[in-house]
Amino acid sequence: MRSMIITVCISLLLVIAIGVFCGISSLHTSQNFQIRMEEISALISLRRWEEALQHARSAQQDWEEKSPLLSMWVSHENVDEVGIGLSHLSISIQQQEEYHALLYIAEICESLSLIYQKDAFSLKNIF
Amino acid sequence: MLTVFIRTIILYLVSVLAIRLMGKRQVGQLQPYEFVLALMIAELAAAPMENIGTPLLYGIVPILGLMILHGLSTLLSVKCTGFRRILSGGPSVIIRKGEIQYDEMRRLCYTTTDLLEELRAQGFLNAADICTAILETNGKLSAFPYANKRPLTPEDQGIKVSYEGIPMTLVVDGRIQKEHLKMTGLSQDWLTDQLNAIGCRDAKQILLASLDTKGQLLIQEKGGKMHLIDALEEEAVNW
Repeated sequence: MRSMIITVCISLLLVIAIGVFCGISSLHTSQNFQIRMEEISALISLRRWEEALQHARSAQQDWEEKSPLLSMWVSHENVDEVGIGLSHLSISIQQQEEYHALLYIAEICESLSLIYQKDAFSLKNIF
Repeated sequence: MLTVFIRTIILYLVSVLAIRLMGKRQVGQLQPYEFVLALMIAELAAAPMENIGTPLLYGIVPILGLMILHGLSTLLSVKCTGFRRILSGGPSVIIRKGEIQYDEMRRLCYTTTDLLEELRAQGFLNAADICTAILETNGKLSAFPYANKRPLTPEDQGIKVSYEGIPMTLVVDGRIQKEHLKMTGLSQDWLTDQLNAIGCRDAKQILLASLDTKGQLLIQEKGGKMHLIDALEEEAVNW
C-alpha cells in the first residue's frame, strides 16, 4: 500500500514537472525567436540587407542548436518547419527579395506560435 | 505536455466507462479498469514506436498518467467499497439453489450458451448439478455443485490429513535456490549430502530438486534419472 502511494506521488510529480518544464521552455523559445523575427523584419523594411542576413543566419544557427532538445517534446514536423523556414529566409534576404523574406518571416512566426499553442494547457487543446 | 496528461485522464475514464457498460462478458479475467489499462498501454507504447516523428514523451507521459490513475483507482478500491463497486461492479448470482436466474442473466446480457460453456470448462456437464453459480467481477463464473454431487473429501470420510504446504524448489536448472534453502532452514551442505547420496557430485547435473512439506525430496537429473528420498522427518518441516 505504502509503495503504491509513493509510486503514485512520484509519478504525479514527475508528470507535472515534465509538463511545466516543457510548457515554459516552449513558450520561452517561441517568444525569443518571434522577437528576433520582428527585428529581422524591421531591418528588411529598412533595406539593411547585410544586417538582416547576419541576424537570420545567427537565428538559424541558434535554432539548429535548440532543435534537438525541443524535439524531445515537440512534434519533429513542427521543429523542422521552423528550420526550413529559416533557411528559406536567409536565401531570400541574400537575394534581397523583400516580399518573399517577409512572407517567410510570417510563416516562421506562425510555426513558432504553433509550437507553443499546440501544447499549451488550454481547453481548446484538451477537447 | 500537461494537455497530453489531461487527455489521458479523460480517455481513461471514458474507456473504463465504456468497458463497464459493455458488461462482464467482454472483460475476461481482468477487472474492467485493468482491461482498459492493458488496451491503452499497448496502443500508447506502439504509437511513438512506429512513428519516429513523434517525441517519445508523447508515449511516456500518457503511460505515466495511466499508471497514476491505476494506482489511485486501486488505492480507492481498497479504501472505499462504494468506489470499488462503481469501478468494478459486483458479483452476480446466476444460479441460486439450482435455479437459473433468468432476469439477472438478461440484465448482464449473459446467454444460456455462455453459462453452459463456462460450466463445461469447469468440468460440469449437467447444469442440474449446480447449486450456486456466481459471475465474478472479472467475468469468470464460479460454480458450486450440490453437496451430494461434489467430490468426496477426506473430511467427509473422517480421515485426518497432515499439513500440505508449498514444496520448496531447491535446485532449478542446475542452480541452487539459496533463498528457498534459507526459508527451509537447511544448509547448502545438507543439500550437497543429499545429492552425494544419489551419486551426484555437482548441482549443475540436477534439473529439479524439490522438497515437500512431508519431507520428501524429489530429484530429477538432467540425464532423466529421478529419485524420491525421505530426506526429512515431517516434524522437522517448518515452512
